[in-house]
Amino acid sequence: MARFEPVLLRNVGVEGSRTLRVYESRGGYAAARKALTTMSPEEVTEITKKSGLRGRGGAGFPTGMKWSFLPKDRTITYLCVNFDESEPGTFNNRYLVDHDPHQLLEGILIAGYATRATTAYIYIRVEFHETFHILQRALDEAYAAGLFGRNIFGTDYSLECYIHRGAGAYVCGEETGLIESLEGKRGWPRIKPPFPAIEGAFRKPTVVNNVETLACLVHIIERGPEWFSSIGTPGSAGPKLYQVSGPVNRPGCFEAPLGLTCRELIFGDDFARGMAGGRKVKGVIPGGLSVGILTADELDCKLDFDDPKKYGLLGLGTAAAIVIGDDADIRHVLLNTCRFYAMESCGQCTQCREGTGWMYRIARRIAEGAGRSADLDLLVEQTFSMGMMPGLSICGLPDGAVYPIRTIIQKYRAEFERHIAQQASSRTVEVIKERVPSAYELPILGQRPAQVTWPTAASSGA
Amino acid sequence: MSDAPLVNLTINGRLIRARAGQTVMEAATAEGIHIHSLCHHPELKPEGSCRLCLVDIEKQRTLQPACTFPVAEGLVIQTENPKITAARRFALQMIFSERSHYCMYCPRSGTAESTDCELQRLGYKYGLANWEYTPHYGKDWPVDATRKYFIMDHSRCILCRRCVRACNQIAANHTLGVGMRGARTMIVADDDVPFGQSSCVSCGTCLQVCPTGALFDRHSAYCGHDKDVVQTQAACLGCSVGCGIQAVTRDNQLLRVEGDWEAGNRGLLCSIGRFEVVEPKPPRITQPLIRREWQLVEATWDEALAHVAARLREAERVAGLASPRLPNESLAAFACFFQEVLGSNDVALLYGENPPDDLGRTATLRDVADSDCVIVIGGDPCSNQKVIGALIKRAFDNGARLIVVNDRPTELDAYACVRLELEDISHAVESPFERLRHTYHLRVSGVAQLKQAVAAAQRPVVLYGSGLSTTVYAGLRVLPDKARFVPLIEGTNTAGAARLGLRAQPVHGDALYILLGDDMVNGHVLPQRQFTVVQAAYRSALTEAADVVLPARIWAEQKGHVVNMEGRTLEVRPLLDAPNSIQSDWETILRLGGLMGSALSFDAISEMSLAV
Repeated sequence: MARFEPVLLRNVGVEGSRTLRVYESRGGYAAARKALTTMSPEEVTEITKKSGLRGRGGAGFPTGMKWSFLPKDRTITYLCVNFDESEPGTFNNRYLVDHDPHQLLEGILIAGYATRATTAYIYIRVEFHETFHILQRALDEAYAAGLFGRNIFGTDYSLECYIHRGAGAYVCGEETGLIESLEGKRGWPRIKPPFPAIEGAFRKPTVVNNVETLACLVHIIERGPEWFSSIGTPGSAGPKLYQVSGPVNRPGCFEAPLGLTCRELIFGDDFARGMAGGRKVKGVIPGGLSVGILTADELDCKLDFDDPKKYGLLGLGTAAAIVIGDDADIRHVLLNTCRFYAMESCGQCTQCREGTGWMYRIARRIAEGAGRSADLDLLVEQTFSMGMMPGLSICGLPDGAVYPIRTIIQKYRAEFERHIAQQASSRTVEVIKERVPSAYELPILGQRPAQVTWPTAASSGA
Repeated sequence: MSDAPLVNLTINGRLIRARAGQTVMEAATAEGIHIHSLCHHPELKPEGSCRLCLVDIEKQRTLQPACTFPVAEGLVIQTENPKITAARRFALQMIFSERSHYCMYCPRSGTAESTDCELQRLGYKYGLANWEYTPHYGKDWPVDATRKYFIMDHSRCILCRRCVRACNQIAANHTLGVGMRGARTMIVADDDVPFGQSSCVSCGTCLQVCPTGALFDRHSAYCGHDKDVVQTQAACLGCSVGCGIQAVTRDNQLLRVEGDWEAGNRGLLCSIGRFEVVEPKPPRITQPLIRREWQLVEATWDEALAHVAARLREAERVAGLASPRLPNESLAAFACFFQEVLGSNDVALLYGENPPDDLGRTATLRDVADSDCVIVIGGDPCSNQKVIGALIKRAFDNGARLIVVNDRPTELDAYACVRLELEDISHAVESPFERLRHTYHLRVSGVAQLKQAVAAAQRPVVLYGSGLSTTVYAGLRVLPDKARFVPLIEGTNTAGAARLGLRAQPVHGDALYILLGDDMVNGHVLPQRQFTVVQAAYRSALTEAADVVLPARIWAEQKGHVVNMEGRTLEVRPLLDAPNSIQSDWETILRLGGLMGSALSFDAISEMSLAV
């Protein structure tokens, strides 16, 4: 395959790429100008639909279709840019905005025009201090150049844009949670229906789009929908920012057409360039934590919107691969996963609030060396009881929680069983001194084992 | 909503009709189909978080919560099937395992038939005999007993957040909220301070909606399950609002008072109506007392009444004072007694002033809560008519404009968009320059501002206090017709008393007859008379200074009627049996009249009270 010419990352590494001057000199804002001056909003929506662009935030919902849900007779529309980027392992949006903030702003202009939005809110994760200032500077520059505000490009379209710093919760990346947080409330997802397109921010029709989705728009307008849909695999069109973290030689953010295989992403010369320090791949969480895990044998999974589902995963997610080396203990992977969801469950729905807490407690029990085989069954059973799929939650957080937990246990069951068998036979390992401080204290049926196995390099032989 | 189109849907094979905009839960409940739920309460906005009301709706990918799912034409709904049962059982397992549900120590706990705990009832129903997840008994969940009247035990809390919603939506006090997240979520007051130090006003609405025993009141805990007690609809006699209550009694004792959801106050009560009524009271007077040799000693009824009759006959002029807390019947008998038997007009109320009631159409409590412009003139509803204060705050939450006119600072000032002094509106006649001033954006007078506000509003309500100058009332009379008025009356039945011609005014006479009932008038200094007779239920400074004390019934033993601030006549129902020897006020007065040789008849009294 010929080397793919980066589109979204074309300005990365260019001197002064954050400035309007450099961005415009490299063809910036031409697409927005083209859309606003020569097309109608319906045409832009039509082109977006035709391009096959699917949301890059994780769920992969067709963007053009999302826009078409807006009521026809609306007067006020809000565009919310989801820059919360809280999925573990994901950093493509930050990377994009850090290097090329104007690309996002141009995308906002196009999407705002297509949805006839009156105000755009960029909901940025609070931890992104530096990125916030980069983006704010870019926005100020764009305002000064008349790219935002009233009568943009001399047309009668006006768009105000504000950057809102988030309040620091995973669930604020869920679109209705984001809207609630934007309104200044506790970031609790709302009950749907009504969907945000009908009743979103401040009870007005609202569209929530991911940063990368908006960046793609620029290129769709610039090069046409046919160009966009020619990239990638059927049903998954366009370039995608892949991210790799973990013990690889070159962790980072890479652009490739959708449909890159996991193996290529880890071992390709253009990408992560193999495992560091002679490790082997034990598993990969290919799309942000919530999608689930791929074992070393499943690396040929194509990372597009549909292929991961064949491997029991939730979907593509954010295409942020977390590579797990063979020196890691799978019990810790499970513990870390469970801990994340227990900490981030918003506490609104009973099953998620308690279920994620319980999963964490059970995972802790296993990691502390007091696990039982039945615990694994209990965890797997629980993953089928939680989440939006049986209808037990308002948002998709528990669904995101059950996929990694279920796949980790199902795919690495043998290793768990080995650990459990080991801990039962040798009760002579030292007591854990360092404990994760937590409110989820677990009384282990009857007694807490005085001596537990805590894996050392020697004992965790995988 | 009543003119919304009808839709047809099928629930459990039954074809039913519902209004568009209703939820599945509402439609089912209206048809008598019960759907289990913990976080849902008909008086609160649905939240859909406990996920117990899940129903199976055809063509829906997943189970849907009935409490939030809107009805639509042609829905086919199942409320019970194995899939739903499995989901509910899982939800219940989760709830039971989250905190220490030591049911046997909970006042609400009982058998499958007797339990008052909605969680326990579901536990029985779904056969939760064991824990799949061990609850962590090791953790000490806090118990917050810093409030005077009721206690929060977090170990029984299921985080349904009914209390939070009640605090926000019904009491409009916004004290309760949620702290932390995930499994560490806790119900907190204000910024996580102990409840007793928070902005809580102890209205107890949260207590009334709590589905488990997490919130329980100190007085009635462990005093009986719902099936053991008698619930009676009655009216609260705490103030002139006359809230609808559900009195809970058992063995001739008042256990607790709950708000009546059907009444104008929509379940809301204040700390006085809900908790103060069951607080310990001074010693009850059960026998007539006569002062002999400087001491009040017990006497028989005949003795005491004869003594009173004799002394009253001797007196040159007898004056009467009655408490406005008494029902019309007692007041009518009292007034009748003075007119017919003693031939005296020197009869008045102990306190309580009735403002003019002819300013315009009267508003109901519901109008206050639903108003979009509330004007409060004089009076302090947040301290004297607390439920009205809460209704005003609720209207404010719904976007109503609030204008406060008062010389004293009140709690409502913080909510007011316009704050005026009484002096600003004491110009009854609009000056001819007013229109000019308005045109040129000069400061317009208070009355003009009120007129503008009323004119701009859809459902304006004016609440006015008593004791204001006549010019102020005159200023209110010129407000546009759509303004509706509610007088903020001091004293429970002052309006009823006014219809009987009783008003608070100084009385003169060498003998004094005070009809006190169960009222507690602290700090009332009465001039020394030659002879004072007090008819009261409890010992107080007044009874200690009296020459004769006659027992009286308390509010819960009385039967009769009162008139509240809306001008509505409320029935006072006897909730408890009075101690044997204690007659109702009018019976005592009738007997006394008989002894004094008068033809005071029951018919005359009842006629008079009926006229009210």
